[in-house]
Amino acid sequence: MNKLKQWLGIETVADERTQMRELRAFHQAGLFIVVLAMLDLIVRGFILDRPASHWGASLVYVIVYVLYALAKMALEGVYDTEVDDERSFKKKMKQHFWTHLTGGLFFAIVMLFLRGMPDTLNDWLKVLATFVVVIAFLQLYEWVFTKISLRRTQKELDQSDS
Amino acid sequence: MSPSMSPMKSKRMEQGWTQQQLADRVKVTRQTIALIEARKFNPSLKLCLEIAYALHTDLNTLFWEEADE
Repeated sequence: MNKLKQWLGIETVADERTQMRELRAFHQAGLFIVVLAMLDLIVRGFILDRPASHWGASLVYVIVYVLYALAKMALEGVYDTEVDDERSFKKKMKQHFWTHLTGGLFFAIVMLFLRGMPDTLNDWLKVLATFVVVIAFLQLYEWVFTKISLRRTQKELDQSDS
Repeated sequence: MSPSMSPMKSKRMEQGWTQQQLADRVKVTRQTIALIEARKFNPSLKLCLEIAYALHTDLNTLFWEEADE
């Protein structure tokens, strides 16, 4: 890992102050790139309504950035610092479920009003299926990242106990 | 020791070392030592210990300052 960091130029010096400032510079550069990519998405994707081939790369940059940041937070055990045992994990998952459910319902109702009510049973089933898939995806991603983060936290707590 | 001089600086001067010499011993840059002495950078506990070992003293002597009432 250290060799990789050196190869990437992220950690080349032993001095902690220099290292801290270097990391801050890399962090700000990453944020700057992702803000530019988001602006590109908004301007070319939504406002100018250009084809996906024009802003697709920016979408990929944003997705990679978000996924990398979430995965890194989970692996470092800081994805959800309120969760530090199985009990708090279950409680948090319940909270997420209700948040996703109410948020999803609100979004579905708004979309139904904007796009109009489905005409056939088949269309209703499609709406329902989309709703279930979105809720399941949100719940699954929260479950995975929180679980990874919890494992890391527990491992660190176990090591500090021993 | 002047009131603004940090205990670390006075300890380093007692040893007759320059900032660069201390920096070389604890493997950091001279700027880092200068900023710690100027109280503009908070070093990690690990670096504090390395500085204390290098100056043959303890953390209290180097870094303890009474809280402002």
